[in-house]
Amino acid sequence: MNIFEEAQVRKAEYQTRRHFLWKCMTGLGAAALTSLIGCNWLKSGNDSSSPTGGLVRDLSKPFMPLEPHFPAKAKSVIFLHMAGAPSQLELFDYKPVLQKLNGLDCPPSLLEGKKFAFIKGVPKMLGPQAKFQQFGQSGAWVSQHLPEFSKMVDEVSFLKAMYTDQFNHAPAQLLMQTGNARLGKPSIGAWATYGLGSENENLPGFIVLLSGGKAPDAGKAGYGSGFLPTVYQGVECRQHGEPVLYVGDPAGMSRDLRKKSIETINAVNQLHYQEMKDPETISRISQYEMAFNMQVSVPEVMDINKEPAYIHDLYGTQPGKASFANNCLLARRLVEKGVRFVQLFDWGWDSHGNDPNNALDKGFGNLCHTIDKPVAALLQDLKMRGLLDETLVVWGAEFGRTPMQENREGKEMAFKGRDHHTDAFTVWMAGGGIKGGYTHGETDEIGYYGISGRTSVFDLQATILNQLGMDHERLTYAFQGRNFRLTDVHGKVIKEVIA
Amino acid sequence: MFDTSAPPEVVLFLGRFHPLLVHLPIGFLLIAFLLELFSRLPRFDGYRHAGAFVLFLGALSSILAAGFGYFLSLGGGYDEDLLATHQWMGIGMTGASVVALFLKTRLSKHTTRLQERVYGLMLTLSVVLMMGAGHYGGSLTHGADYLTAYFPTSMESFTSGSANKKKQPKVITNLPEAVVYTDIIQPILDNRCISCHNPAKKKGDLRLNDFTGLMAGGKGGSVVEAGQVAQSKLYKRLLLPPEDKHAMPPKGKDPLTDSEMQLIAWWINQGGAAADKKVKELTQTSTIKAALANRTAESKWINPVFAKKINPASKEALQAADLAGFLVLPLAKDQPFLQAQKKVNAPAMKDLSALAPLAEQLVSLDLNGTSVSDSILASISRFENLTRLHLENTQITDEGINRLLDLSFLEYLNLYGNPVTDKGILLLAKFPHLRKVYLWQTEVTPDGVAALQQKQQKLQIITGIPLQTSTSSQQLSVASTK
Repeated sequence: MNIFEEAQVRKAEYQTRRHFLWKCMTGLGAAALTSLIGCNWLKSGNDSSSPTGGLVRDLSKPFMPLEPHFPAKAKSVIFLHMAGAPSQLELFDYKPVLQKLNGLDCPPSLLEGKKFAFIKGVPKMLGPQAKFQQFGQSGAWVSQHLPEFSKMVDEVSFLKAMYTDQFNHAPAQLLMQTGNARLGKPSIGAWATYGLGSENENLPGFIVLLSGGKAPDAGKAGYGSGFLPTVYQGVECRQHGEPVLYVGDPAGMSRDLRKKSIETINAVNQLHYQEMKDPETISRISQYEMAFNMQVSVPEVMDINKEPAYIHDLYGTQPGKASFANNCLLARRLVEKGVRFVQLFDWGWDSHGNDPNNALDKGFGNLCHTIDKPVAALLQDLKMRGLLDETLVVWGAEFGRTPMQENREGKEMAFKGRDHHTDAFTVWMAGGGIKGGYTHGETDEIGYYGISGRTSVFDLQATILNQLGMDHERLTYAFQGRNFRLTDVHGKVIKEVIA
Repeated sequence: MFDTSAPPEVVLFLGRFHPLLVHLPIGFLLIAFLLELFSRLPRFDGYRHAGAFVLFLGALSSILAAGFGYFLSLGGGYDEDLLATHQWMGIGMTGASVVALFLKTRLSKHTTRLQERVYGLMLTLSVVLMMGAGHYGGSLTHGADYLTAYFPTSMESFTSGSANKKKQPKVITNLPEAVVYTDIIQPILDNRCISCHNPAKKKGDLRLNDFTGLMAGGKGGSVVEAGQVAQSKLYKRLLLPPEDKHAMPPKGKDPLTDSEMQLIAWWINQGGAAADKKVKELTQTSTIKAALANRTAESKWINPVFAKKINPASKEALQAADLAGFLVLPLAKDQPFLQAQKKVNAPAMKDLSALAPLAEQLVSLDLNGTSVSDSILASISRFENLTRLHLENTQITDEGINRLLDLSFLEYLNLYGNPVTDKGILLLAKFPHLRKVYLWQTEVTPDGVAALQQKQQKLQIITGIPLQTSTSSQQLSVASTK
């Protein structure tokens, strides 16, 4: 049979009764099977019929507040992410035994089967590079680097035995923020605004503020919306010039004209939606409406000049300068306005010992100084306004740092530093129905492994959602044939730290 | 292990099939009974002939189930009394069904009235006994209070967020005087252990429902060594990883929390595993203090308003409030309780009349920064179920506080940024459930705060950065008049 004959035969096959029946059978069989096993590739998005109970969202009002699964302890969240991962051993996890081992070779039992980002061969143990003291009624250990924060320890629950499974910044940050080390999942702020909406119609429900001179390694995916409608992604506000790009009207354009043009664009988009039924069009319409409201509300809320002098003293803020302190003050202002989730990233905590600016024996103290006062001020300020009762503040990073001194390429480093460490790090939470003056979890004598009360990144995420009144197992979104959730198949609410 | 009294393994193996087999006679005998009942009606006369066959299956499976049940009982670990009742009911039911079968097969040939009566009686008896045996069998495997453990009460549905249906641990009202064993340890055992280690089930010959049972130990001897937590089996079993065969609670059941474990270790070590030591007699580390605080009445306190039966709000009332510029939301899904606040873009609020139809349901009201005034608050007393009230940054004076006095469930009151004074805040002592009050940027002095604190020890008074220092007070008053 030559190729032409074969083509003829194939063509003829398509016209036979046998082929028709065969196709019918397999096609119908596949359709029947999908309905039997409860998966439907045609369906995505809101899946109200699913037993896990997705929620029904009208995308023309994407931020309409919805009731939580159960009474919420916190209305808002401020997540202070120290990108780069500060050393828990120089801040909260006091290990006197490690001091005795300082300079000794690390025993092989701690290295076997381990993967490190940079440590090679046999590193030396490194004792705490800070002095520690107990503070508050709870007697929490805090190092000399955080003198202001140490006055607030009785507001805080420490999670001393956090662990993760990613030892590089970008995947670990993604895991912390989106529940997955790979790209493409919605961040926790997106989940929270999707699940609960936001009380202020003039501001985005999820706002991101960056400091430290560099964006986090995870990039915008760390506060993206993943497969959720894009309207739920974190809106990044800048500190120089316009807080949100192009939020101001161009010179010569009046607000009335702007209003009319947006109304016209939305009308056109509405027509387009009626024709194409793409939910992203509805999303776009609502974004235009919000952008119009934001033209007034954003410059107003982002302008910290009007804050009284004693507030600037409290935070150590300098208006017009990009800083973590300014971001802390902004976070309070945003939460006060009803923004659901405020995400701060402060870059520069990657203390390997190759850079004097963050080396544990050099610049680390200065770095701590830049966050110490603002963080303490944020807690204090929220508290006296009655907001701490309803706002959950989370401080943490993507992982911790090793009890061993880093020896990149097996060589001695110029300064004292530690490598990335996944098995033990410290995160703290305050307000929003979290116990004050409490410590959960404990690490071993050298801070290498958690020995009791170990809590995973997923446990932290489950707890944050729990305080917002949401069951992390019920907050789902149907995508590609199955219901997804922030914590995937993991996560257990850390009940011990809940007041 | 050489234990001559232990039954051969094959017997134990077969015994495990008892729970599986018992379901057969339940079905067969019940259907035989129903067939017999219906066949009395002329319409279903044909069923009569099926009766004998079904009854045969029922009697046969009864015999098998009873036999395997006996094998299972040889394994031990069950409450003798309960077991005896179950056993004899089971045997009785088997006997009754065999007699019924015998009569049924005879009946089809030549019938006497007496035979028919006895047959009916036997069949009924076997079904009644089957129900009894089933109930006691259930009590043996699941514990005697299994059926009624979740008897609903109104508070339980509200207590906690995540669907935690575990019984709440016993609440302690006076911590230092609490007896460590009875008030702390036994409740943990009650909650976590006694579903298997009770007088009825007694797994491993251990019962943990009271002190004597705990001290008597189990198959392998004592489980608690006073002062030596590392030697105490009770604790050692808790520490094993869940994969371990000996780990307790067994795989699939919730493990004990860290604080529960800490308390057990503390009682064994510090308390010498004594039955009568009080909390104040033992030394407490900070972790123990925290674990203990978690079990006090204070930490379990729930506002009594949530025990009230409240009708859900009407749709019309919710719509009207929405139109009037209030954002009203249920506190949670399927809860009648509501929270309300003024919408950001709504025009200035005139009064609270739009919320009046929701007064019963409203438990949280946020009037932060609104035009609310003392005169508007005149109508607040109808919102008698309010637990949280935000009045910060408004123009409320002492007179306004006076108007709140009917809100007996109030637990959170935010008054920061209002011209209230020492005189006004003394009224706050009259709220029975008030937990937190915010008084930053008010005209209240440290003396006033101290006076209030003295009247209400439990009240948390948050005044913020220093109230009356010479420089900042000027700044503060400037800020508050803005």
